Amino acid sequence: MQTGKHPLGTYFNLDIVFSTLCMLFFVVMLIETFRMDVPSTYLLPRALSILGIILVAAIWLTNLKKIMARVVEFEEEKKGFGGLNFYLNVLITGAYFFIANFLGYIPTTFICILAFVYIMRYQNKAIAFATAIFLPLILYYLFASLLKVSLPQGFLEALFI
Amino acid sequence: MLEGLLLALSPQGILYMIMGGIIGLVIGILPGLGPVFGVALLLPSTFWMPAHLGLIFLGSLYGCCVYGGSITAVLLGIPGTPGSITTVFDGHEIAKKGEAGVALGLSATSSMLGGVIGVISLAVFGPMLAEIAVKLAPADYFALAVFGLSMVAVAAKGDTLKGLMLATLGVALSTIGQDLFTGEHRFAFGIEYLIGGIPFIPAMIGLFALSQAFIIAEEGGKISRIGKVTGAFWEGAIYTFRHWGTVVKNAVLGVILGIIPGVGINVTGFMAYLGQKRIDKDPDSFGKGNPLGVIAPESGNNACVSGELIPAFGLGIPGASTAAIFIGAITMYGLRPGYAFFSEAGPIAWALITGLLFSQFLFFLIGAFGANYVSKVTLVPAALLVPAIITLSFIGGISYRHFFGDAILVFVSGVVGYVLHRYRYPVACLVLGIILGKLVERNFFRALQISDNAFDVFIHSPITIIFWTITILVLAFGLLPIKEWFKKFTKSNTNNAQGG
Repeated sequence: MQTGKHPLGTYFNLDIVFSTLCMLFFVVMLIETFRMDVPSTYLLPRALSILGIILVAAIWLTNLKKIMARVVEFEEEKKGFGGLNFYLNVLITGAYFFIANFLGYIPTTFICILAFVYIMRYQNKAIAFATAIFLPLILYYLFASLLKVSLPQGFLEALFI
Repeated sequence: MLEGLLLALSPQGILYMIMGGIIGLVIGILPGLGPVFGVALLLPSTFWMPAHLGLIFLGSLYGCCVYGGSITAVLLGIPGTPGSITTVFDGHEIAKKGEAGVALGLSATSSMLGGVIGVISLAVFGPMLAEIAVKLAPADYFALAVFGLSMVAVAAKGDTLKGLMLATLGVALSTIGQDLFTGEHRFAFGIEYLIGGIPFIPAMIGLFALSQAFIIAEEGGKISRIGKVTGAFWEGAIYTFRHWGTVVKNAVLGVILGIIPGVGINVTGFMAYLGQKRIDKDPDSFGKGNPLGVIAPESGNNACVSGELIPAFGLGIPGASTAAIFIGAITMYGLRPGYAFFSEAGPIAWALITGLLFSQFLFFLIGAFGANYVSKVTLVPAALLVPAIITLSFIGGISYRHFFGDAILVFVSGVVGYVLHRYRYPVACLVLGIILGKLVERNFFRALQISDNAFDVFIHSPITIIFWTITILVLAFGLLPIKEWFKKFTKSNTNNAQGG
């Protein structure tokens, strides 16, 4: 286990965000179980949510000790050439997942590949463009035409109907 | 039997076996498209085939599809099928060291050996084992599921708090959706998507595939950290043959778990992996590239494939989705599943079994000759690999139910998977919880209903007592420092004896 100061500071890290979200989930689940009447519906979730709250609280206590000691455990980022920041990566991927449904699979994937190639400073432009053009086309043919998976067509839908 | 063997090994039989095998491998490699999808998709295309060829085709497709999932698990850290989740833990670590060929050799050989043991069990013990399996009552299932959950103690070793929390979260997530008994909607919060529960496949794609894309992007460079591929397929194959005991043990476990309806390859992979970790002399090396961490789940999974077909063919009871589709296929050809299947169907039944058997050798051969080429994937620059994984994860999410909401779930669980990986949460515990949650709840209340709310139903049968005993032992050895206590005890006894 590597230890050190997290890039976003000692007091804020994704571990704390995650455990807080888990705590919220368990609390909401516990409250919801009191609206249920049949034991088979609420018994297990209620037991789980109480156990979950105790466990998250225990994790917080352990983390608090580490924060007091000004050490936050995280796996050290091993950035190689062109390593990409997680938050930027999530932003691009999130945008890809949401936009693909409206813009269509092929053009969005084309843009997504070029975006990654540019941001991660990939040098071979010929291979980058060939990948950006052929990968979406091959995958579209394989999944949509051969395996009958309905991939979003977006504005290209008019061309196919 | 001989007639069936000749049918399967006729030029036409071999051709259909190869066709089914290659299609199965491709489907297995693609994230989100598992054996269920593959067999269901290709079933209509067998309508026009003679019965023996159609069944050989489907049998080969099924066998190779399960193995196909291991190729991406090893090379990219992306399990192609849910059964190969545990192969990621050590197989991908070996590939990162630049020894992708060795890892592929380990997975192909253990899959082949496990698969062969599974098919032999199907052929020899099929009807007898199926009869035993249907005698399991809900209380036995409940005890089995709790035993599965007790494996959390092994998976969470070193991070017990985090592991227990994740397992609790996993089981809690599995309760979202419609209540199994009353039909009441639980924790859906008015969101239509949640009424059917959280689908496992998109969640798995996010947790393991998309999160890998985030990790590879952050690390940059190439998957192979040394920038080249060393180690040959045969090194892995020879290592597996030398550890034949591990293969046989996990294959037998795979067959047993496969026979029990509703358990399947998802659970088998975890049970085999964690069981191996539990008994290994160096459990800390698991997750860091221990070859036995590849051999155990791979041999278990491929044996489980045939185990799942035992109650389907022997009794007409489908224990898993793929087995249900196979029952549809054999019924379509005018055959009847049940005790008489092996005797009445004669050569056709044996042709199917031979097809399944030879598909094991087929993917081994494809692996042996193709390993050097496919392992080059680990040398592809991250800038090209990352968008490829992201787009495949997107397609995997969409293709599961043709539903955009599943793609969003892939994204969300991808972010969660990244956080779990970075902060060393034992992600296996979360998956175990999700997989076993429904099995626990369903069988707990079913057992109570049958026994008229008498709790002694859970300690009534010998099978249940066996499961409880093993569970207590696993928990005790996993959570308490029993080994240290025992060492101290023996040391003090020796000292006393010497002093006396």
